[in-house]
Amino acid sequence: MILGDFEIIVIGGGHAGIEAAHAAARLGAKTLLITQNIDTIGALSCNPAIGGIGKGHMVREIDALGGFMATIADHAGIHFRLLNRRKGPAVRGPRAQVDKMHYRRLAQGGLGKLKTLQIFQGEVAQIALHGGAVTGVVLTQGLVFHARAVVLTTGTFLAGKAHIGHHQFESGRLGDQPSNALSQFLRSLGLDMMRLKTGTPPRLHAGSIDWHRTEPQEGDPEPERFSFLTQRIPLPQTLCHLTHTTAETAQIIRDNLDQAPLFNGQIQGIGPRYCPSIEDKIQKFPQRHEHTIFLEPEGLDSFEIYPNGISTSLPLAVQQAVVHSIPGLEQAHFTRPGYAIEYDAINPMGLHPSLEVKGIAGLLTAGQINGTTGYEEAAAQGLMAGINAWQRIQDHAPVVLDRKTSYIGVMIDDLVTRGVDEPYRMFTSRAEARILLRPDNADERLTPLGRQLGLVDDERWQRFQEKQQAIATARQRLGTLSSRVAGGGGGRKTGLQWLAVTDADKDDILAEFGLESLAPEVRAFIVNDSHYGGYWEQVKHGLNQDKRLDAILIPKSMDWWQVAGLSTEVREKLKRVQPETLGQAERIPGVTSAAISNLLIHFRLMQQKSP
Amino acid sequence: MGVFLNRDTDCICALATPWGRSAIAVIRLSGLHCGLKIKTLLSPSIKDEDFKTKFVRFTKIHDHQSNPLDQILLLNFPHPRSFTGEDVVEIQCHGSPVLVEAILNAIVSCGIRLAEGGEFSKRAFLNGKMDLIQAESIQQLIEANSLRAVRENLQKLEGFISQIVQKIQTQLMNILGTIEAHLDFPEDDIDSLDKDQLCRELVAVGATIGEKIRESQRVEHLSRIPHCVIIGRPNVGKSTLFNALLETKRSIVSDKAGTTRDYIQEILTIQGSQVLLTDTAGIRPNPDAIEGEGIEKSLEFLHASDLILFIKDACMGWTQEDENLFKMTDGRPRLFIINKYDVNQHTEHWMDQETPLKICSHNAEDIQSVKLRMAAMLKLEMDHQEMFISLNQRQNHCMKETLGSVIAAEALLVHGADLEIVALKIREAMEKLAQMTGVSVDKALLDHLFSQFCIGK
Repeated sequence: MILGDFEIIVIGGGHAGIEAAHAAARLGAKTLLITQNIDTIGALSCNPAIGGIGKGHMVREIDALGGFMATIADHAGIHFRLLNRRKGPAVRGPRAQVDKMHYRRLAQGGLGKLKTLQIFQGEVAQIALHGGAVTGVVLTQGLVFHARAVVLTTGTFLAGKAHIGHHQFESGRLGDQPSNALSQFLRSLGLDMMRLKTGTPPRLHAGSIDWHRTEPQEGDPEPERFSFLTQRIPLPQTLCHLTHTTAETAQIIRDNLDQAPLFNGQIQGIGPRYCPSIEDKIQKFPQRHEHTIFLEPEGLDSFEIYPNGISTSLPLAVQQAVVHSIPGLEQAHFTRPGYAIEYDAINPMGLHPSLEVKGIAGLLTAGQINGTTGYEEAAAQGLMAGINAWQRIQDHAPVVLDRKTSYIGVMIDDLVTRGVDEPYRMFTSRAEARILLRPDNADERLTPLGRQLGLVDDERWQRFQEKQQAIATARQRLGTLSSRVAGGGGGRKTGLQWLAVTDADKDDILAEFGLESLAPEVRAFIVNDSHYGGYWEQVKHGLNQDKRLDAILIPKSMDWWQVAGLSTEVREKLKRVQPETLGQAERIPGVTSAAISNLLIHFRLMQQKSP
Repeated sequence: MGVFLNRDTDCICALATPWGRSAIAVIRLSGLHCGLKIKTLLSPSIKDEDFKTKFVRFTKIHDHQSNPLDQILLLNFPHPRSFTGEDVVEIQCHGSPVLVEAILNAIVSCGIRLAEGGEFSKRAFLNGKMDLIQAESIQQLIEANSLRAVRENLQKLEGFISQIVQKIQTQLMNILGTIEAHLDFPEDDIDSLDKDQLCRELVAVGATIGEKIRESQRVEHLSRIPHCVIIGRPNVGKSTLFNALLETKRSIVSDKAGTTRDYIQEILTIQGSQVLLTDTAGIRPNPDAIEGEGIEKSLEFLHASDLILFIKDACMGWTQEDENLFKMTDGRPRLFIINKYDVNQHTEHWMDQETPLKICSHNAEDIQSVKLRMAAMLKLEMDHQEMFISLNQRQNHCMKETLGSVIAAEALLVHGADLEIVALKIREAMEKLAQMTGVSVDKALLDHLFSQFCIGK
């Protein structure tokens, strides 16, 4: 039975699915979001927090492009902290603990308001294909929806399997069913699939915790907002509490390692090293006497506490012993057990940089299915998949962000060019242009593109232009010479040069140029922009050198065996990745500069032979 | 992560002719205003505006401290009418590896970097300067080069150099890993950063690299072809021996005609190894002054030589002149030869401590035994390069660049610069070093990070 015709269908209501559906609908596509459970749209399945170092950068980029996540996080935030506050402006990461219930409500409410978006509860079993192109989806009940583009955001649900000690069971998330039919269908398409793993700690009852034995931590007095549009943080702010593991914790874990699914061979999937389970930490770092645990509230009204730092899949009895060995948690009641979950992902090297699956026109994937981890990584991909699904149905060229102008571009290029061998999380160290990619200049980098695509509305565009105008005016003033001696240094410098002096007082300098009353975001931009002085230029210049290689497109039906002078190893790598530009080819590990020269010459010869 | 951090300058240079001894060597430069960049090395008669037009000029080139290096033919090809389509300058100089290296070093000191393999062709291609035949022939060349390179480099890669590079990379990786861990994970997650310790580690890496560069310079000296000089007072048969060793009928007189040289040099091949043989026949002590020019010239050769062939005529007694020359060669590797032994076989007793080799220069067997002794004394059959690190021009340059970045990182750290800037410099060092072995930094970094730090919640 055909239930309806759409342009774009998004499967999944997690952070990738929300952004994809939001973007597609905002761009004007007749969009359908299908989820197994409408109530869990926007659920934060693991920690109750958004952002962090690298991740917060991406939330800003999502916002700059006209995405959704930053606004929800600002409005659900109950404890904001700018991480790395004392370090340089490029590596400061906005982070907020959020009220999970409220976050979900805001996400669902926001999607519900979009006029071109429909939402339907159901489980997709198959993607309908015709001649190598998507025509729609088939639900388990046999219902059919038509669409020319489908965005798959299955998270941990694809053939999901949970582990608690020896106990293992099929599950998409604790309490939810997995998608097994879809997993089988994708395998039948011959896609290169892999098994990944992630985990989450047990949740505790707030009333059973002895808070006096923990150390309170306050949020920042001036919350660093995610969205360039948010004027104020609406929710009351709350405390987070710190405690730590003990020698007893380590001993309990060591005594029970044979029962740990991670170590006894029960779990085959590969987990992220930067989000290790507590059994992993104890095993790998025996010299550390304690590991910090953050007790984060799941929400303002929630009685549940998320003990950040003790993700585990040990048997429940051992989990309890572990928790009870931690100061303040001696009497803690469990509300939910910790567990590990294994799930299907596809090898992202099988994707175009548009996030479209190679060989299946109109099928795009985003989030954990592409081998990433994290709400922010998922949302960023969802946004790009939504945009590119729209580009696909419009028969427009895909939008591919540059490594040099965004973390989103770095992430997607890493995924499709290098693949993953563990769930991928963003780090600032992944970006060669790190010092250029600041959270506070995400709008300058991406809002014009968002406007061009049609995602940036008039309000955002006007605010952006006003800010840019104010920055330009201030810059002009700061470009003039001043003989003022700041911070004991001598000589005549321009205001911008003075600002680059590490220990100079920024407010004094701005006052000297009559700029004491700049709007905070303008002031931040000006100060941060001059922070890295000559290094900024150096990096920027270096990045421009090889731009021309990125402009040389490689034909889709490229036969690498036709290119003379390539080693077998290089050929295999190129064949596997199928780079779309020479720049991408050059970034594949193991592809030498001699190989790139050979490719250049090959293309030249082809051009001459077929004028 | 690409090697882009090294590309802060857009001009490149390289030796365009094969490396080794030849009559003429061609060094090619390409990139915007590359001629102007090396202006300080050239004669002041070449003006800035000259570089706007095509020219050929016979001129001198100096090092960056204005010491003259060579007389060269300078060819200027302003863009776009050049091989690469960029501004191109070609320097035709004399083909001695030492000289070529000195000129390249001078050019590099002007901020022009050494080209990567295939980079000139790449630029030529990017600027649309290649026709079909050129493209095909260059492709074959690259192919041939990489095949040869594979064979040649395999040994090196698996060998000593790569071990040393690996060791330095690991040291740098430790430091970078520590810094990145502190950048990518909030303060609560990991122990605080010990900057002093980090500084000590950087100093240690810098010292290691510096040591390798110095070591390499010593080895470079050793691995030049060995110099062997024939010395002895006039008419003892030096030139006869010289010719006999070379198995030529080369006449010294005719060589001297038309030149002003007072000595002659030839390459001699013994057991497949090359030896530079110098005959000092023309050098005569100035009869008026013992410390005359002739002696100085001889001394110069003696000091530069790896082996001295000291010749004495069997027919003549041990004169003061013999004594003086012999003393000059004391303490240096020396092969004492008594010539014309066939004429006078009477054994004298003026030389107890050293057994001379008694020969007749016309006897092929005697000449063979001289060669064998030379080979033994020069240890030609042993390959010294296996035992030391011997860096080629490019590798040496990579090492020096690496050192520069390490020192910069150290200075930044000491002055309290942002860690991300220190990281930038350390990455730069690693990228430069990685050009020697081609190991990518990224993956190794994450591996390091997660093995050293307990991070993540």
